[in-house]
Amino acid sequence: MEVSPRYLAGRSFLGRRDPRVLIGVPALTVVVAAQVEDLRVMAALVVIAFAYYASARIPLREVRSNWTFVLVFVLIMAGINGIIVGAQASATSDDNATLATIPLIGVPVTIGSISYATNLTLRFLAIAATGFPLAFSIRPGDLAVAFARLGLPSRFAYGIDLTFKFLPSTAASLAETIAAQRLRGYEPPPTHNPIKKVLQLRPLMVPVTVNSFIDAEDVVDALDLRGFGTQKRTWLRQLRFGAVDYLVVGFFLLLALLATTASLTGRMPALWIF
Amino acid sequence: MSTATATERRNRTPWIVSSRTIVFGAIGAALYGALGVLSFIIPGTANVAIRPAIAIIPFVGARFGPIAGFFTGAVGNALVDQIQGFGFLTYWNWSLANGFIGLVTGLIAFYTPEPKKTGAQILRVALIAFVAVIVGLLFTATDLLLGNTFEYWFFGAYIPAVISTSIAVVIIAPVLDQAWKPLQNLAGR
Amino acid sequence: MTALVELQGVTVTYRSAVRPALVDATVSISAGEIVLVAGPSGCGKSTLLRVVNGLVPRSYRAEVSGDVLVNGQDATAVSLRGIADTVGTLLQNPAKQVVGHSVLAELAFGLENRGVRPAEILSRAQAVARRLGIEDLLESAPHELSGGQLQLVAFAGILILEPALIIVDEPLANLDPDASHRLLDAVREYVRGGGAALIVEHRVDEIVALAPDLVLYLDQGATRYSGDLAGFLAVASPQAVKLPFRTLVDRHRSEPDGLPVVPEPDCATAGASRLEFVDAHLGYGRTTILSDVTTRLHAGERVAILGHNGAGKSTLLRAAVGLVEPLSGEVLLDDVPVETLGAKDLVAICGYLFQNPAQALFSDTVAAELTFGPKNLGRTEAETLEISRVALEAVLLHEEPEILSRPPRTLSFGQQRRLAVALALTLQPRTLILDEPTAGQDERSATHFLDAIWDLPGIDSIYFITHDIDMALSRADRVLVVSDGCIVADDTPAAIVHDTGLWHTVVGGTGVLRETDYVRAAREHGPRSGRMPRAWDLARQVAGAPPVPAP
Repeated sequence: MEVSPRYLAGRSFLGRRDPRVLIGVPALTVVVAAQVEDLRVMAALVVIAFAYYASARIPLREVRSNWTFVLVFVLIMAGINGIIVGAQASATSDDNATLATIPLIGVPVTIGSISYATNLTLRFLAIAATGFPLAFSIRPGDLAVAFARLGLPSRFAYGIDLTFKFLPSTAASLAETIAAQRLRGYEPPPTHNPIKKVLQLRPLMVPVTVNSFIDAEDVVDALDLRGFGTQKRTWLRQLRFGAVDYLVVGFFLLLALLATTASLTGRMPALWIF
Repeated sequence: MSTATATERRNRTPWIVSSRTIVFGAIGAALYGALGVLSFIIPGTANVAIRPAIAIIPFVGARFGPIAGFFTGAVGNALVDQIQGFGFLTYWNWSLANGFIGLVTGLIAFYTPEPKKTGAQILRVALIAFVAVIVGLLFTATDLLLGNTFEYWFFGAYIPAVISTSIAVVIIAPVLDQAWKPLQNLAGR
Repeated sequence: MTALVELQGVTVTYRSAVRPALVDATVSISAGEIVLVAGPSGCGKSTLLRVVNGLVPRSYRAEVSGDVLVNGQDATAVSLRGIADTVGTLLQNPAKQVVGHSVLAELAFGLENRGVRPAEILSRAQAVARRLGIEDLLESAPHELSGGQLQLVAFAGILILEPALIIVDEPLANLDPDASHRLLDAVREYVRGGGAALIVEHRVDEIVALAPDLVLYLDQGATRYSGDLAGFLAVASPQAVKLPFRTLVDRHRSEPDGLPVVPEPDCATAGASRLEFVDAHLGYGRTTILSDVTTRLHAGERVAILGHNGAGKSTLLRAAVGLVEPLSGEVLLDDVPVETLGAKDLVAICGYLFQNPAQALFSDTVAAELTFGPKNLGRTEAETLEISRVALEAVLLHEEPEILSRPPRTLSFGQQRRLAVALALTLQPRTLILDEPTAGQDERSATHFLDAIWDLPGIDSIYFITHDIDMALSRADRVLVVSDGCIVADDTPAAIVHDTGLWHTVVGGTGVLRETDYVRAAREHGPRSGRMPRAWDLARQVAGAPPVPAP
């Protein structure tokens, strides 16, 4: 597993945006996607989301494995589960003509359930496409400032920075402990029993956890000795929310308002398009 | 010269935030992320993953308080999503749910005194963590807002998550808790 | 002039302790002064430091009696933040002090906490970086820096707050001696410019050049000496702190210990090949760290590996136990390629001691910890108990009361190191590999620890990595020097000392090793070949007898 966040957006359009844009857009996309039930509208949202993603110019080779992971995850969670659950959900619908039946579990595949699953899959994709720039287009350190500017108390915002700092050293400590235990003959026998398997991890989890917290005492002193949390703090990194930032967020805000209004007034197009 | 008693002050309410709360919460979140590599799929199931690292959340909650526990769960889970590429908002509600596991553990642990016997201590932490998992993960019902059906959420998400999380948490959280117990006063704070 | 910080008869007892950690300490520090606090581990120097910077009793629960004055004011009512306006603290481990995600963020941290305007933070950060010569690093992430650079960055993070007094905790504990000296130079500059410094260090020989105005010598919490440097050098125990060679000679002259001057035994005669590298390239993934390694370490030898931080010392010896696989070439243990050895065969030949002894401690009790290895190797219950007993005795831990039922992590750092050795011994290896065995230990505990290991029954060879040049030269039969991805020297300690191309001083030279006080003495007075006597023994020889004539 990668253990540190990566910045991959360079000087692209999204790379030049205020980090609050990168937080705001996926948040608004979640709001929109949650309310869209029509495949055509959802498809349009996916196109918008991917246009947004493309403007980050994240090199595909850098994130290929991440996309593979996300796609597999989306297909399993939304696709297959969607069909199973969708079958039940659409059982009362008019369009429940059974096209086929999944062998072994006997779940009928209906137009309704396919429609439901496709919708769910596209919804995930739209959210993930706006989520990727959040993961790869915010410079390390900017996330904490962005949260502070969004109103999170600055001590907690700084805690996010600290978490990123601790991650590589914690991963290194785990690697070292694995090496050390192997040299004590630690080779847990393979087992199918999940409880046994968890217990076998004790020689790894206990030292890494205990050492991390013991070492942390010095970090606490380091913070206290430099006045952490004693008064309102400033941030060296200054964020400027420019006109373009307003435009981008404004656009997604508009989508969110439209979707919400449509839902509330009952004008959102219906669930099944066929 | 008088003696300051940081810990005694801290003990009066579970909500005090000091540098230690922040640092320990952050360490917990980093551990949650780094120890994630020890996850495995339950043999014989397609996609029920056990994530032993999740036991860090109730451990931090019980030992270092509800705020640190919440931070560990919420930031730890969000961090993993960030690194995997989803971005932390895709599953924002699951991150918060993880946070609530730490928060609930911290609160219950604060108001239930630690028994003397080792066996009872183990049982206490295991029980508190189990309850916290059941309560904390209820927050994922916000999946319904995303258009998921109740059945899909309850049987497809909540119940499997409660089962896989509980297995890890009930076993490992007491182990970590017992390992930390003799060290809690070592720093002299 | 008012002292910046003044302690009068301060006694500190931690809430969780019975005995006081600091007894009746009195010290006063004014602008332009350097105060050295020296003493062995557990002498109370950490507590003294925490009283001065205010952590005791504000963060650590303790009973404090006596008076603490900051800028002439009673410190009782002053907050930690208030004291920090006068006192800055450089912690021992810069990796724990540096919290910023970049060097610039680290420099900004303290000022941000004080609510200083961003523009002012930036200009002050640039000024401090220029002053310490780290302007080029401002955008770097801390994990990209060497240990030495990190130490300077941590110092810059304190200096930027413009404290009147800086506490420097064990600056020489860093594994990069050259960098530590750059830091000491920076401290000296700071004091010349009107600041003051309180330095805690037991490697006194390296601090003498700073000419401290006052030395406080502590042992078991009590002040054994307080006064000028010359007086301190006359009374300090050479076992407790590391003294300059000149002082050791003077000591032998003024109070001879009456022991005879014994010539060093010859280097161990090489036995069978234990660890062999054949044209090996070592590294991780696509990164080669060491190339073209061809050498043999023999059974019966004590081999020291020296070199810069990050030069590949650990990589070399990690390959011996399969933690690093050769990218090409071969690594053989007892003539068998390491990667073909099963874990059980491997650990029976070679035990490996990690730098942090706590890296693998996980059991509830010492007894359970000891049985983990033998059980993994399939020993019976009775065998395991016997093996554990013998191992514990070998490291002299068996006399500690109730040792078996104690949780391993509640042992002292020195005891944890001994326990780590015992854990290696339970696998009954013939060779021990030690990674920085003396890191984090004072003179006395390091000496006792190494003496115990050097005499372990059943261990015929010891290969060790260290940054402590004096220790390597006076303990080894053979020294390997690693630099720039290659082994650049491989010889007896005496030959290494006389190979002048290997050395550099503060003043000049281009060699990879930093010349110490002991190295100069050894070159002048020590044998021309073979092993080197310890500093104390060499000093006895110099004090009583003329230098050994060259053969």
